[in-house]
Amino acid sequence: MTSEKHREEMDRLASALVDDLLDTPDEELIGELAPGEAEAILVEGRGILEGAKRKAGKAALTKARQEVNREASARRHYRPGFDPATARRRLTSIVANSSSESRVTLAARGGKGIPDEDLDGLIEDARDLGFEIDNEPEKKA
Amino acid sequence: MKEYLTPEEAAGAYDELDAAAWLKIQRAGTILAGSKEAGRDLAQDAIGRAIVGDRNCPRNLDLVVFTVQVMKSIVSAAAKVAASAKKIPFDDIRDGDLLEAAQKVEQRTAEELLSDEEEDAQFCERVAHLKQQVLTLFSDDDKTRYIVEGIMEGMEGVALCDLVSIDMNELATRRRLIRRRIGQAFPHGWRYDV
Repeated sequence: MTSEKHREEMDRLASALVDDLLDTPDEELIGELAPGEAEAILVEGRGILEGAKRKAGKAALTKARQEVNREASARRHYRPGFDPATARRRLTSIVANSSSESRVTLAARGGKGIPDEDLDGLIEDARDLGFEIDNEPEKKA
Repeated sequence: MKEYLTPEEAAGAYDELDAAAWLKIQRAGTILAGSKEAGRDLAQDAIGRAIVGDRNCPRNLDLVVFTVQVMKSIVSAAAKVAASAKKIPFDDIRDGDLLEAAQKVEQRTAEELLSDEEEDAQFCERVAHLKQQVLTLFSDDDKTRYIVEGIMEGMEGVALCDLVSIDMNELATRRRLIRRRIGQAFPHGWRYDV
């Protein structure tokens, strides 16, 4: 018998024990406890809840910080007159005319999936690498 | 009114839980996670998901039942990740290059494969020993032991009743006996993966 089969058996038993626990009336469970144990369980439960609230607070803070960073990054890359659709076409054209193997994927995607704020940087990177950059105006007439 | 509790309502509902509710959550955590400490972390994780709104409790569902369901799903997801991690080195999963990781698995040396097999055999032995310990708790009661074995095989309700020729009421009584005996024998859980 494999370890996975043994583990599955024990997991099924654990699941059944938990189901039985949930089906048992509260009074019966409390009746199984030693004197004073119910109070200790309540205190521990509140400790679990406080811990969960602390962790949730930290997670919310991290999420908010990431959002602020994302917006700051988008602002850094914003230029008046910048048109993402044109930039995407330029980038696709640069890659399609390159001899790099990477062009297959990027050209096939038509530049899709690349965040707007990254387009300008990628075009500049291509220019630095010596690609011919056409002079198509960035903003459509 | 929305179908689900809002995160704020869920947080408020957890504030109101009584000792019996916390007893169920804590014991379920110990059983599912394998130890009291891990069970506490598991409960905290599940409750955290409810109060940030990652998981939403339907209004018509008991909050304790919902919490335990979330705990079960966390354990199940972790088991799947652990099973994958056994096949693919964790560092490669973390670094996100799954294709390269899969190639590394293909290229494992005979020595590495043997080491995996030895580890698997040791784990298998530990769990088999634990299973035997559980069954021994019912060595004085064949019917209940068969029920435990049936549950391990995935049998439920009527199938378990038919197995030992009892009705649903007697099954409920014997299931309580199983839970109590196992709870007394493993008050701190039956961790077997350490």
